[in-house]
Amino acid sequence: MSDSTLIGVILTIVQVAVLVSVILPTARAMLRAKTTLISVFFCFAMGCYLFSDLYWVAYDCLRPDTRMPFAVNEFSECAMILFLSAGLEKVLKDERKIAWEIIFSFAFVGANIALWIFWSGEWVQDILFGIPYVYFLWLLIRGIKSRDLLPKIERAGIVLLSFLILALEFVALYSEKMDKTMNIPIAILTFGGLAWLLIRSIKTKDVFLAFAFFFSSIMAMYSFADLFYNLATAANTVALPLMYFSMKKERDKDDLR
Amino acid sequence: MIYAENVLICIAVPLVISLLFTKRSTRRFIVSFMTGMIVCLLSAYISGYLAVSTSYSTEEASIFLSPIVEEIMKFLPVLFCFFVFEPSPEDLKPTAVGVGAGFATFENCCFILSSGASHLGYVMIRGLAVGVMHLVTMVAFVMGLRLLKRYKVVSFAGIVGALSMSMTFHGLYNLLVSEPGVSSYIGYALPMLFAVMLYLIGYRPVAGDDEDNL
Repeated sequence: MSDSTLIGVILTIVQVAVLVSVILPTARAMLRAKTTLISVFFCFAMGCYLFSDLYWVAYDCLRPDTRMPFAVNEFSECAMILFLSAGLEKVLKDERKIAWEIIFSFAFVGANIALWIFWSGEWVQDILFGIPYVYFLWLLIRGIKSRDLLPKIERAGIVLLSFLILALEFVALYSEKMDKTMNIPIAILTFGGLAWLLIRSIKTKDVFLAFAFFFSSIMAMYSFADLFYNLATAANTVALPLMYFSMKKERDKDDLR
Repeated sequence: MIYAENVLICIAVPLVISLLFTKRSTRRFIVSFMTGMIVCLLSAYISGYLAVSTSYSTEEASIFLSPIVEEIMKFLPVLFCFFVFEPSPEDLKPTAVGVGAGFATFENCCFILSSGASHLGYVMIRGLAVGVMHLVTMVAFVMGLRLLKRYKVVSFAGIVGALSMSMTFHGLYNLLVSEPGVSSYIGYALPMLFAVMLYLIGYRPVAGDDEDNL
């Protein structure tokens, strides 16, 4: 097993421990009837993610340094996103049916799906399992906007940053010589954006920003390999307690919706 | 080579006849048991087709694709029952358990016919690990549906989530037992551990709900 895979396995085991410590209090609160629908969906989502992580650990230990083919954990991750989206739907108060945000969501996730297809060649599952991310991102942007969590200038900045990262990734894809050199600026921009979202979500403790940080860390995980992938996994693990506390704050606001 | 269709007919005929002498939940259980066996045969056809039509080897297809096909196929009759007949949670339990048990029984019959039953250890592994695994995934699926119904959140997301948990558990089992050594022992123990866990967290299986049926 290579060092990178070993670190990945250790990080995933840490994530499993964090997931268990997030699922148990949520489930306990559910049993005590202190429940909002977002906490029910959150608990199910984290359960799906736990199963997916266990599958990853088992796969990496049994078949180290081989690319995982299409397997059941894709369904778990897809179900996790669907559960989180269903949870966000319950707390979103935005009556607009059609908004420009959906265009951005389609463009951003669509471009990411295109990149995944170029990298993996697995176009059916990349499209099929990428669609829930469009809906999830749409809900996130609508939530951030309707709650006025970020000033307009910062929202514009994050849109620009997202497209800049995507543009650099496409440049790296088409010019093989620049592939290695482009990795560093892409990583700086990606992790810079993640750090900014992390600070913002810690400050506000809002469910939409915490979930946005989680979403961004997943996108970062899908964009990198080795060292940067492991860094993104660590960010993804940090997002879990943030999501839990923001969900708890939301739950305390209002009992069963 | 075995003729799985003939095996199915051989096992199903006495069950079909037994429907004439049973009522209500016993009859429902027998029908779901037979459905489980038919679903097992159909799953084998689909998995075989996928193994041929994709780039997966036979081993890879059985590890990575079979759990997806088998769980979806097992889940369809239960979902049909859930939405069409709208049974109470108590009525849904025997249906799901029947489908899981029928699936496991037919799969075990076919494996034992093709590989032989002379080695007791192998037969025990088939019974206690694979057999229980098919049952446990169905029980877990029904528990998921019951929870979703309790919180009134039966939706597309909920159903896909409950299904994906069953699939991942099945996939994890297949992955663990695919390599010899410690991982396979963990894999063999997993279904029984999970069955005990489900029982302990309050799931009482079909016992006692059909005394008055004959």
